[in-house]
Amino acid sequence: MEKRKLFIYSRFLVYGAIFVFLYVLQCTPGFLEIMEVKPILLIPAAITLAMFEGEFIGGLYGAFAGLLCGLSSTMIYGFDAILLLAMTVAGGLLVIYLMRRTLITAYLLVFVAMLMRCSLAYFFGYGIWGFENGLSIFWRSTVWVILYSTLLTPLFFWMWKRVCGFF
Amino acid sequence: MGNFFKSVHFKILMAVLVVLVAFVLRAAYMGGLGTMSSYFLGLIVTPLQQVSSQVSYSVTGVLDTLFRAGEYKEENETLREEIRQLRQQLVDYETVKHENEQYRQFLELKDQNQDFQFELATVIGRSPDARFYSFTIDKGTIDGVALRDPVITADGLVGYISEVGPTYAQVITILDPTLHVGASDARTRDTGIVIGTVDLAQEGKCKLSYIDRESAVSRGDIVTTSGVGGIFPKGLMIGVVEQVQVESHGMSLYAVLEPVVDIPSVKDVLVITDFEGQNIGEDSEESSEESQESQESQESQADSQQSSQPEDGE
Repeated sequence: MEKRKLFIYSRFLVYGAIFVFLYVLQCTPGFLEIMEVKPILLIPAAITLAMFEGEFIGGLYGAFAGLLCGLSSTMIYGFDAILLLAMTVAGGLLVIYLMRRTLITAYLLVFVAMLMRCSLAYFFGYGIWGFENGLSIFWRSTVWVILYSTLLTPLFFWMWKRVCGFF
Repeated sequence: MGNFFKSVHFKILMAVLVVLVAFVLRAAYMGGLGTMSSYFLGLIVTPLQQVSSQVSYSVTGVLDTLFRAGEYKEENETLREEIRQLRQQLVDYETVKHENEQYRQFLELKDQNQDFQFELATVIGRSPDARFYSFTIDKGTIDGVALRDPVITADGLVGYISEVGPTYAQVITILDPTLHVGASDARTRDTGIVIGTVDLAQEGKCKLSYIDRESAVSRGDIVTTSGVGGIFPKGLMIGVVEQVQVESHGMSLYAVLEPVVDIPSVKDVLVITDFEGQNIGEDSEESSEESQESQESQESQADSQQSSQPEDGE
C-alpha cells in the first residue's frame, strides 16, 4: 500500500522534471526555430496538465512553469508565474465544470492562454514604452509565437494523457 | 464551483499567489538581481542549458553545412569579388594609408586597455519572446559578473548585463531601444548616442543619433564607444556606418549602423568585469536613470540647435 502511494506521488517529481526539460528545450538556441520564431513550450504544457490534473495540481505546476519562464524572460521575475497560476487554475476549473477534456478544448484553452500572456508581455515589454513602429513586433513575432505554440498543443495533450494514465 | 472557493486547495493557491506577488515586488525592488527562487532554479537549469546549447550548436553546425552549401557557394563568390575590389583599392596609397591608420588604432586597443578583466561566457539560452535578441549566458555573480557589466566579442560591443544570478546572467543588446551607448566616429571624432529602433532591430542594425548637422560622418566610418559615463570603456567597436540621414526634426543627423558583431547568432561572448574608470562619475544604481536623462538632454540640445555633442554617453 505504501509502495503504491509512493508510486502515485512520484508522478509529481516526474512532472517537475518534464517541466525543467521543456524549459531547457524552449531556451536552447535554434531548437524548433522557424524563421526566427520559437515556440513557448511551457504554457501549452502547463495548461494541458491542468486539464488532466485539475485546478490545484495544475495551478501549482502552472506557477512552477511560470517561474521557469521568468528565468529567461525580460519581464519582471514572477510575472509569468502569477499569470500561469491564474490561467491553469481557470483552465482546470473550466474542464471540471463546463468543458470536456478534448483536444479541441485544449487548443482553445492554450490559444486563449497564449494570447493573454503574449499580449500582456507585448504590452509591458513594448507597448508602454512607445517604441516607434512597435506594433510591427506584435504582428511579425508575437502572433507567430502564439500560433506556433498553440500548434504544438496535441503533443502535450497526448503526453499528459500517457503520463497521467501511467500513474 | 462554489465549493472550490471554500476549499483548502483554494487557500493554498491563494498563499502561492501571495508568495509570487512577493517575488515580483522583490524582483522590482532588487532591480535585476535575482531572487532566491531564481537563484535556486538557475542552479538547476544552467548546467542543463549548457549541455543543450552545446548539442544544439553541434547539430546546427552539421545541418548548416549540409543545407546551406548553395548559400555558402554564393557567399564565397561574393567574398571573392570583394577581395578583388580590395586588391584594387590597395593600389591607392592614400586609401591604404588611411585604412592602416584606422586599423592600427583598433589593433592598439588591446594594448591600451590592459586594465580590462574578462570573463569568457557562452550563450546558453534565447527565449522565444526575447526582446531585441537578448540572451542568457552561463556566467553569473560567482564568476564576478555584475549588473551593467559590458558584454563584447573579439569584434566589438554586444550589450550589457541587465539581470544577474549566481550562475547565469541576462544580456540586453545594443539593438534594444532602452540601451543608450555614448559613441564617437573614429574618423571624424563626432559624438552621438547609439540606440536601437524597432525597425532597424529587425535587420540586426541600430543607429547613431544626435550627430551634429555639420558633421562629416559618412558611409564606411567606424563607430566606437566614447567611454563617457563609466558603463562602457572607451574605444570598443560598435559598428560601421551604412548610411547617414537627417533626423525627422531636422536639427541633427543620424547614421544607420551595421554592428560589427552578428548579434542574432552570437554564441560566445566576453564580459568585462572590471576596467579602469568603471562607474566613475555616477552611482551604478542610478545609471539607467542617468541614461534616460542623457537622452533627454541630447534631445533638448538638438531642439535648441546647439551643438549635439553628448555630455553623458550611457
